[in-house]
Amino acid sequence: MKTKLFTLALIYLLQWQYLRAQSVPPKFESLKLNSSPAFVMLGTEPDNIQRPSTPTQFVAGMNNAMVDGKLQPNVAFEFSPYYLANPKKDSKQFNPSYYLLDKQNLIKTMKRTFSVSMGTSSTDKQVFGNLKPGTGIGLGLNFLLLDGKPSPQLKKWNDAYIKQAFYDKFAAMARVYAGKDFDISLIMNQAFYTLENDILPAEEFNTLSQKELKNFIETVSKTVLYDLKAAGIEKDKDATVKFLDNLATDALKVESIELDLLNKQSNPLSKQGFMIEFSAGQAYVFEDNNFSELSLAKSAFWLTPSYRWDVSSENSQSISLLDLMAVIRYTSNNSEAGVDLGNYLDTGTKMAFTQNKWTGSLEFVYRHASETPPNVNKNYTYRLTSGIDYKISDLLTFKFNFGTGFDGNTSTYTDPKKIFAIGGLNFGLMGLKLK
Amino acid sequence: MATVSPIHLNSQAVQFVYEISAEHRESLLSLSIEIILTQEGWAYRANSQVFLNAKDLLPAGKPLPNKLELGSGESLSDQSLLIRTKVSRIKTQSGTSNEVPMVKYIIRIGTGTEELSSFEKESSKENPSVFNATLLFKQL
Repeated sequence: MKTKLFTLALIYLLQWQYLRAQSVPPKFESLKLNSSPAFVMLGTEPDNIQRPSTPTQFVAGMNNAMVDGKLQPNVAFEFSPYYLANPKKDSKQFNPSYYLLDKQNLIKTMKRTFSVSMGTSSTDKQVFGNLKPGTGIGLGLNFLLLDGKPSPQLKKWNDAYIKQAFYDKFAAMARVYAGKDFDISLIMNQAFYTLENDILPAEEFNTLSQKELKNFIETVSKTVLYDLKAAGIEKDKDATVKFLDNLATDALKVESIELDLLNKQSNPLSKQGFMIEFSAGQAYVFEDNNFSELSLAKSAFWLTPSYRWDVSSENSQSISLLDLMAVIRYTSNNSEAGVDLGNYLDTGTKMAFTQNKWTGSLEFVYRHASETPPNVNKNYTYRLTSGIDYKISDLLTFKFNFGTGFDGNTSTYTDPKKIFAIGGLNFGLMGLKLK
Repeated sequence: MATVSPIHLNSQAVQFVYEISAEHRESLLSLSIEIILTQEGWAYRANSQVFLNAKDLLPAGKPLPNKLELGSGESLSDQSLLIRTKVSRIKTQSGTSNEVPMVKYIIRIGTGTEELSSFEKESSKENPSVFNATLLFKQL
């Protein structure tokens, strides 16, 4: 009965997802839950290395994994304390900080990308060694240390946007100036003050570097005063306002050109460049599914550096992205509880190519054990995995992975390597409003 | 809904006389601006300026005023309200058409509890679109 109900629910969900997928194109940057540290700690993720995605308020999901040779569903959820406290508004109003953070500011980046995750699965003997089989609980946290950068065209548009906002304000301040003697130098200094202290902080997205901002202010100071004096109109309010209106109109034309070029890109807001994510987690096991028999199995922390190139063709609506990723992970096993004798140091690399809804990837992870039993003659193992993902909708991804896994823990390093092939659907529930 | 709109698109505004009825002499008038964009996969980025005579009423960088207090009907008489909003449209989702969607721009004047008038204008496909309005208040 339970199986029938589950099957019916699954069919309904698939139909709903299919219909939804027909009308709404999936957002490329939506969270893939299987990258959460909780799943990594439980050892149930088919991929070991994932490029970080945009944090969201709350996301929950399911994936399939092989547990002691059987296909088992696993559940995890992840939430972002920052976005729970500052929910993303469901609005058509563009907020750059929802897509990209401001210039590299370590504390701000860490605060906004900090996520906490928790997952459960049945325990696997290869992952949890001699602990009695039961229910595993993975707890994790992750945040970014470096958050990539906007595309060069997004920077060009945003630079033009900021400059145009300044010229608009400058012209308006001159227009409404009510002082006795018209003093353009005074108005210009007030406009610069407004730019630095009001416009840039309010926009929360300044792509101009300190040097670029300084150069802009110096250039405007010199050229505007020079041109007004050369034309002999610096004391004439109406003529100066007309001159500044023309500057604002010219800046608007530049912004319009840059915006048009940006909108022609297939994925104008995608983050590119270098990102580094820090993750940490712990895995606990309820042995024999007994509430009183909780054991800490392992703790780990790791860094995931990644670099993304947008290789989409110009004026194409098709997205093509190339990602190069790596991981360095230290795992401390609870040897007293019999999880494993030694601790692990993993290093790995992954290359992924995404074309619209499809992603193909190849991943290699090398594992070195600090200690091995006397009868084991090597202290390393590796896994080599290829994968294909097809994103059906924001909430549903079909995954297929094929490769060879780690040779279990150090007690089984001498076992012949076994291949695995696993396919399934990743379900996600995104953007739940908890407030 | 007023029949004549003081909103000008991509050109300087022509002064529009806004009459405040005698019954709102003591009422505190406020200004709100709304933008409606219905196209999926696109968002708008707005930048507004609001000046009452020489006084800058809206902090720089604030996209749109919402119930921005202007003053009592009587105090506003013979004062000029300058409104300028630049609306840029950005494609936020892959797979959507590159055709720039139109937006509807609405200015609302009210008392906080009651809407007295609203004016609207549809954008062109020009991106960004700039909406200008200059209202000269007259207390009846």
